[in-house]
Amino acid sequence: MSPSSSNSLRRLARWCAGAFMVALLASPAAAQNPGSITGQVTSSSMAPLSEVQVFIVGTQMGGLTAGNGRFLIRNVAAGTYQLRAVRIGYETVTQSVTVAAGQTAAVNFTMADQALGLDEIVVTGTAGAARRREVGNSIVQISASEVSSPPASVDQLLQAQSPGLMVSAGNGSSGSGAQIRLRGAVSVSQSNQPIVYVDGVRVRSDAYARNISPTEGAGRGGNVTASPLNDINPNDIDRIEVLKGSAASTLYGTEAAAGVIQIFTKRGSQGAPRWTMQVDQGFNRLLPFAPDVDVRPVNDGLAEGPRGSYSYKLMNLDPYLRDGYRQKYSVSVAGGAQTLQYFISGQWDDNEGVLPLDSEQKRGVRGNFTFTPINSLTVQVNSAYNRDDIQNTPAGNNAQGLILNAFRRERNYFANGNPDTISLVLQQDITTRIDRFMLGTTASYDPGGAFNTRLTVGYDDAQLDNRQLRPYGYRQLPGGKLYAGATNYSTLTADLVGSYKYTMGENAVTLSAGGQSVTTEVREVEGEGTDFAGPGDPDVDAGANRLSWERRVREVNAGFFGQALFNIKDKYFITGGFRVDGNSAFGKDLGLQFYPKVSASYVVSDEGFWNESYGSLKLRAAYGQSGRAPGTFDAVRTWNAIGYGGQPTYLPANLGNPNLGPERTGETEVGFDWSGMSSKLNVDFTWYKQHTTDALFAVRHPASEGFSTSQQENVGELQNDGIELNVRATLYDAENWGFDLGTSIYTNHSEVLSLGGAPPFSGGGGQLWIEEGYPITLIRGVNITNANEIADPIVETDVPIGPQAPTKIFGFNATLRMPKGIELSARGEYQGGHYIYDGPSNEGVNRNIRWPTCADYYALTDAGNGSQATAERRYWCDSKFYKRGTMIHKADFFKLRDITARVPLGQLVPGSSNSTLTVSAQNWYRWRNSEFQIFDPEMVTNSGFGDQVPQITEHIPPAASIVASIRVVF
Amino acid sequence: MFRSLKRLGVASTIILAATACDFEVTNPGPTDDAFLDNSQAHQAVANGAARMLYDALNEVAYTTSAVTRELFPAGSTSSFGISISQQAGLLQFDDEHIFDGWLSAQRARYIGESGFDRFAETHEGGNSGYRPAVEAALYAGYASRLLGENWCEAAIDGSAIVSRDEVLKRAETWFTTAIDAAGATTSLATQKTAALAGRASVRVQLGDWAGAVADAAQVPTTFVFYARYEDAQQDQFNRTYFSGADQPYRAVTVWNTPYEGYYTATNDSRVPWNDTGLLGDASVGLVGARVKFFRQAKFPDRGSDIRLSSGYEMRLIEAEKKLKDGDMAGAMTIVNARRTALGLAPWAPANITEAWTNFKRERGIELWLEGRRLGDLYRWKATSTPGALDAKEAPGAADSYLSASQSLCYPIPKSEREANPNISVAP
Repeated sequence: MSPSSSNSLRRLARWCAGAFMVALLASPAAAQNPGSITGQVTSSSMAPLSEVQVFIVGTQMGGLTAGNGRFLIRNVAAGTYQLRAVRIGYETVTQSVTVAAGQTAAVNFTMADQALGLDEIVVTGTAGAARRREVGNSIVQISASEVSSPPASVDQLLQAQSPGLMVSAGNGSSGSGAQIRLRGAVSVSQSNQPIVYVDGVRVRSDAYARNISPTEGAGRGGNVTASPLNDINPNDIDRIEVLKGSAASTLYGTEAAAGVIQIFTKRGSQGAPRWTMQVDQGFNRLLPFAPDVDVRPVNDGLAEGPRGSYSYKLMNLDPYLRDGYRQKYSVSVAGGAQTLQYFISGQWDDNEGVLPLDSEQKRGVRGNFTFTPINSLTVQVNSAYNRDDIQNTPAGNNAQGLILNAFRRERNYFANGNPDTISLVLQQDITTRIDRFMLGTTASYDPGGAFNTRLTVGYDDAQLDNRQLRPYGYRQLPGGKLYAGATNYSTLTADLVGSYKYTMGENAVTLSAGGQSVTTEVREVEGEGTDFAGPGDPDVDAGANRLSWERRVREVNAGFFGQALFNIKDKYFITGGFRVDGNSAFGKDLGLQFYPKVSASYVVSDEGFWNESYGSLKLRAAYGQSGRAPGTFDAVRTWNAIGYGGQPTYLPANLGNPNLGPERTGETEVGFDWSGMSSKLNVDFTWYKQHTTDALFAVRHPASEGFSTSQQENVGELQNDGIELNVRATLYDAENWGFDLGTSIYTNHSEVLSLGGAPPFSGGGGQLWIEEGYPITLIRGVNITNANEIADPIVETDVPIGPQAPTKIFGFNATLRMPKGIELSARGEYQGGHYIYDGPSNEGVNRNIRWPTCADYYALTDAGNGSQATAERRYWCDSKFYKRGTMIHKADFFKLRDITARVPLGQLVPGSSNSTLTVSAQNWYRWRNSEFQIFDPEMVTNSGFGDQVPQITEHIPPAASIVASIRVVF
Repeated sequence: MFRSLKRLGVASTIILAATACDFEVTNPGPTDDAFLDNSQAHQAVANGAARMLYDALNEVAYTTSAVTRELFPAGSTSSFGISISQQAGLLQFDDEHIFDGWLSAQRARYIGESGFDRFAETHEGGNSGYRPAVEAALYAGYASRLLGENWCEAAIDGSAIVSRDEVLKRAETWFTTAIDAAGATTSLATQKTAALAGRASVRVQLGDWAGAVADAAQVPTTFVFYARYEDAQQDQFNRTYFSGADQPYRAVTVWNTPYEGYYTATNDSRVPWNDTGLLGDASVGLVGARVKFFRQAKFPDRGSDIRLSSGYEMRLIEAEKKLKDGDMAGAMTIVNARRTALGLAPWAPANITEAWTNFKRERGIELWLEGRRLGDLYRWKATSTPGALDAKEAPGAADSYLSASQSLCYPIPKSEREANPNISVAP
């Protein structure tokens, strides 16, 4: 490095340090006798609007409004300016303001609802930024400030927010993450979890490793799959953009077929430090999930009162459950000067589960800084650290788990239903610690002309520390056992894009080009020690027998893209683009992959013939492709080196395929966005069709070949289609009262079009199948041909039953606005058309365990009248007839996700500018299809988010909770 | 405009340069197939065949012990349990639990056979006297023996159905290959004897009694060749032990088997069991109740090995040949020599049929829980061999709770049928 450049760097460093101190002290550098601008922003119903970005056009000067809608911009040089107020969901308003030297100018804004937000900026899925009017595909924007209930996690924040966005809670154990699906599944072998970006930086989206030793089955640990999404504090989020399919995600290339979620965290804004403090207090409670019947065996020896006095509604879990206390404290400060703005936050979250050992503690800090060293250059630095400590109760299909042994009562693995005996499993200590660090820097260079460019470099690092101890003397493993696993996940992103806009009168063309590289790495070391010398707190070394494992996987995906956006009269827009990708998991004989896209948007309401009273209407259509890469080693013929009794061995691993490439999903979508009746009625509609070719199937090979029983091959063809309809209406709107109602409909019909000559293969478990002409994924079951006869059952097996994924989802949300700004809202969701496999009932009936769904059958058999039972009842309740693996329920359900009251407290807290009290009841009502009598669709395997097989296992459903939250802004 | 386009061009060039990544990534872990050509890797390949054979025997010995009533089902029906159909003595093609043994046996066979061929091509000195090659052939032989003794029919390398005898002949061929490759190499004497013992047992199944006895005669009485198990990892545990070790499974019991009363009466150390005072881990549908949990003690821990061949088995082959030839006294002399050495009362049959009954019982006792009973019952039934089975192991008998149509061999599993284009899905 030359001396001059070194000096320059030192000067820059000194400048940055100085600027940062100035910003923190919130005493912006004084200009010559500057003035200020202040005012308030209100909605059309005169309610104060917070979180509105108010700024002077063409400068970096501005800030966010406080809870009372007020803003203040200091150090404004005397002159006349255009002052603009922007917030998602409201019409952008610009006013002229003149500031006199040393004076404060007052400007108030009234912002009308504008659902379409045609001039709002979106950045996800476009090369650079674009206005919504220019975008031909559907894109969902979720503004965190619009979410009424205080979400406990990002999963919960996303739940029931948009049609086509399905968030399936894993189960009710602490730390359990959710599976996310956008417009169903586009792959049967690769992950369908969308990829996630935070502030332009790719971060891990697939599940963390479960807390399970490789020597054991999946059920032995807490059986919780934690989600990286939940390392992000929902209070730090400004907004989320969601691309639901390939029509929108082409520019993300090979990894993006399952969609893209981009989270934008809050930024600082110019002005004095603005402190926000929030305290949440509440509790979690498990609600009944089984029939309220007493089916205890006669003389079972337990002192729980006479027959009829006991209920199975919690499946014998009653003695172990508690109301879990939850508390969360968060604080943030935002502010800054013209050259440096900051947003700094911290949280402490302690959430007790309803199971006796379950709890989760999160601590996190975030620092987001915006530097503007020169007018044309903005450097945004976002950083966050989060620590998550999870403790779990042993659960799952686990002989040493609390739930399985409680469900099976006296026929459990202790041969004893006594809670004191079953509680012996609570000697296990199952802990997970996650340390997550995210850092991203984006430099945006915009000299104000036709050219701009943006460079983003980011790093996401997660350290997972799993530990599971069965102590010395543990009833079911007297020698004791300790498993410890340390996994490091890292993702390095580099993303560069440049755009040039050429204007020709009313028309313009914007050319963009860029490149992106994403390198992911997983480094995992696991150890297990068994047979300890005696009691104590052992480490793995203390075991007389020790085992260890290591896994290191690095994948590189990189490519470049180009895009041309043609703007004709600011109402016709055509976009064409492409992405070219390479990936380290591709077969060695496969070259770079090309993914095209094209879209069009037409703002009909800007036409001269359009009557303004018709509202705003945008028509849109898009087609695009993106892909999904095969697994790291899928293309190579390999053997696994495994030790056996001190001897090295080679065992067949993977057949290999040098031509293996990505599966490719092309998506067509057509729709419109309409807003009418003065924005009181808003309708979005999209029809979509996804067609996956070269789908990666685990093509089965006969076991008699002696190698692997399957190999990934690009042979399949899949299809998804459906509609998304979102209607939001303001049914009543007066000064003090109002009522808003929103409904959404989402449908998804999937089909395996071709297996490419491959035989049908398992989609997981024994019930789920990938079969030509059937949905992705098909559940197979039985048909009792003489169901209603008084006879032994006659059964057809392997009968196609139906899809495993919901085919229709209806959502609703309603908000009642009352005087003094009080709001009462509710949000619910129905999912249906699908089927779910019920593992616990399968195992229970198979073992002749008295099961609450069979109360009517036992009434007959206990009275010696079993011969009067129908074939259907005999089949489902008697192991003599029941065929293992066939317990399948029609899974339609409805859940009231939350009911929330929001009460503005004004300046009730001394010194505050605004405060709000929110009380929210979450998950307190559930309806199930009448055929689905037991358990909950959200107490599932949780074996990874890419998994196709959510099936009910020995877990608990997500608990209901009540949370009171007070948020104070100073 | 030109300046801006120039900037865009420069930016694009940088982007292209930045993204011209090297996609060659080397990850540790799985081993590329080509590395196995290196002779330093050959022994590990042969060991792989052994490992798969042990896995297969572990699965087959455990499952068939319940089907033949060497053990009685005591509860669990999945994981380490006995499925409902197996509890009744039925091995059904669509029973998911029958696949693992098939897969492991086929893998053992493939690794051994392909390994032998690979070594012949890549080992400088060829396969003669080459330990990895001898062991690869030996384990390939035992893998085919396992398939031939226990499966009604089979497929090889994705073929159409081949008969049980063809599989057994394949085993015989590979044992012969191992014997030939071992030659007179002193350090390979154990492997050679194991191959002779294996071939003797296969020849019994094929009805080649002269060949069987000739091979058996070369195996000393004290010779034992084991499948090895380890207590380090669950998938290497002796499955019969672990499924009934109350850790936490109590899936099988000696209760209500021929061996329950026999051990009580004789204390024969070959069939030991303990009364735990516990019940099995779930209700048994056949019985309609939970059953007493008598834990087998032949395999006392997770690392207990299972015999693949032994000199005692060879003597039983010799005894059986004599019985077939009508030499009851000669047969009983051989059988009772072992019993006397163990301090047991000798069998004293009154006639040849009773001698067969005693012999069938003795073979069951000697080879208890070693995965051989199913094959014996099959061949005895196929050849209408005289002699009765104990009521607690007889199909259709009330005491045995076995179906009258008890399976005496595994069907080809459904998964193989679905994936193999040369076999119809329906059996």
